[in-house]
Amino acid sequence: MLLLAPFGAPLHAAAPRFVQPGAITSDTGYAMIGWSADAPVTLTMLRNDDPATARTLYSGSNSASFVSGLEDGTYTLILRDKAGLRSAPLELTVIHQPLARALLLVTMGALIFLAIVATILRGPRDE
Amino acid sequence: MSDVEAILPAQTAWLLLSAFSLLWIALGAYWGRRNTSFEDHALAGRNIGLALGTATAAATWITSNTTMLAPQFALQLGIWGMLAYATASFGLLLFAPMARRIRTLMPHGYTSGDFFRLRYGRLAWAIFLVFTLFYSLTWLVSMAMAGGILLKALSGIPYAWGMSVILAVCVIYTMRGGLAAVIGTDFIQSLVIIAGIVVVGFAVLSHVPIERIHANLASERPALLSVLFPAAIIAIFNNLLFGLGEVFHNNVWWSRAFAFRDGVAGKAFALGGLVWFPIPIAAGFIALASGALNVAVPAADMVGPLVIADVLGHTGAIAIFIIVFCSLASSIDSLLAATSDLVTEDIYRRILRPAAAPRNLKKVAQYVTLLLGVLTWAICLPRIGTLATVLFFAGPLVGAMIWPIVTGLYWRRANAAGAVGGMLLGAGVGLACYFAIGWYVATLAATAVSMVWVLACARFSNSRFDWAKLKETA
Amino acid sequence: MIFSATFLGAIVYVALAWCALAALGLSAVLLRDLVNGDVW
Repeated sequence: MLLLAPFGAPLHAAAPRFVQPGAITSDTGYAMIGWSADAPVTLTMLRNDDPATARTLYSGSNSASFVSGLEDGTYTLILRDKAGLRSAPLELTVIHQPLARALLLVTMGALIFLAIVATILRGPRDE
Repeated sequence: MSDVEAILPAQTAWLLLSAFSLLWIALGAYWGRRNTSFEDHALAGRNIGLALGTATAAATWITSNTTMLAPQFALQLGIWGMLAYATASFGLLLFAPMARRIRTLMPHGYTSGDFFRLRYGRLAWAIFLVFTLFYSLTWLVSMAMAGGILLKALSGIPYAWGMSVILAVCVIYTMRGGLAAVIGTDFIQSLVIIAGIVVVGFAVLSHVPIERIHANLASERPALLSVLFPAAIIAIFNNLLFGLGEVFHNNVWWSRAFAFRDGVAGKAFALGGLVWFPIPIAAGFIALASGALNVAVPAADMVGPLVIADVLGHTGAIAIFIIVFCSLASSIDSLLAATSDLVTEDIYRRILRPAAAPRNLKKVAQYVTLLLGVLTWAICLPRIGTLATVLFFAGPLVGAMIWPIVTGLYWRRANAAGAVGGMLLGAGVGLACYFAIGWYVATLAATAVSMVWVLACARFSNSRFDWAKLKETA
Repeated sequence: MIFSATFLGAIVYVALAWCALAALGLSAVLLRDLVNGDVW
């Protein structure tokens, strides 16, 4: 009996798997998601475990996808290949940097910048 | 870097590389014929006009970082990311009045090192040289590495070959033509870069309108549209101060201040800054369209080329190749020229051979250019990935130099204690913050600490510097 | 609070137009310098 491998995948294909271990965090809302797979995969993402938020991020034979612009929350990423094999889920937790700290740094930066501009525009002193 | 198939066939890439390389070298040789002395070689006759002056200010500041990193910044940090990047133009804008002041104070000056030596003495000068050479070398290395990596990613040309060819071409025409060749080629390169960015930008918009880009971001990458995106707004002033520090201290810009014709310096830097300002936005926004265009992004640093190739196909691939090659060349040549002139003037002439004849100095500058090229090549060859990030350590170093330079140019009370302490303390605290807290506060911390020290020393200073000491003749 | 599509459109179109003008302006200034024999 002839055994035909479906869609060219090896007979005993391994399930796709993420490069990173089970959980990653980000304080910027972006992350590089890498994986290894024997066949083209589809990467989907859920937000806060809500199936209604599921969307396909990527489908094809690349081995990485860059996600960005995510707001605070927990995202679950899953890889599926054409044979239906699934990866273990990867959990991405996004906790943006505290806004208060960011605004403090912005204020400091603005003050220093204005002081520099003022010094240059005032010109020579003590002539 | 991703494992995406090369966007441009290697043959086409080699053809483009060869054609432009021959052009730059030919121009370098032709323009180099006007240089007889070290002064000609280093300062192009001190008579650069407004057109070339403006173009060189803009082109030199448009590095491959601008064309490749701007889309990456937009994809990571959104709208504020692009706007934060655009603030780097303030370095050029604020250097405009400073350039006029520099020319007034130092009519016979050659380098920013000359300023530190005469204004603050040998210790400050030594610290400055260490900081600036570290920054310049890491900038040179990161550009050369980026060149090799990009050529490989775009066309499959092996890293070692691509990097070597880019460096070799820049070294050859900079050696032959000096600052004149650098500035002349900058004009052509600036037009090519800007035209390319405009064509690409409109091409992207013809494929997907703003409304669709915005809607896609709102649903898939909402934080990129956020007005209060913490990481992005922190980046604004860290980037801005890094930019100020880079422009205020480096001989790339001081040499231009000395090379421009009387009355041109201020206008050229101001116009150059204005020309530069929209570029991170025009080049960066295409990354925001990647979702709406359904372009897969395996790595953030490739988003620019991937979108362009998707929208313009083969033509786009050629366009991005040419834009990137021009932006690399326009910065590498400036760094080579300015750094070799700094080493020749500050180290060779002022320390090692004060009696050197002017004619020999030009030869020395050419040899130093070659040496710098070889050194850069040797460091880049093993392709140590983390090397490119070493450039970010320079943030605290250059931030710490802002206040010593600004007060040194305008306040007679600014003194050596202030400069030395400002640079060392600022850099020290900045680097500590870099490792302990994060990249995004390092430059800010360094500038803040340096500012406090410099202001305090000036406040309690008993000395009043005599500006005439800066008018050292050649 | 997010940046609107109008804002995004404004900064992008203004930036592109600005770049185009800059290129034209630089060329014009070079021509003027060339005509005056004033380039460098």
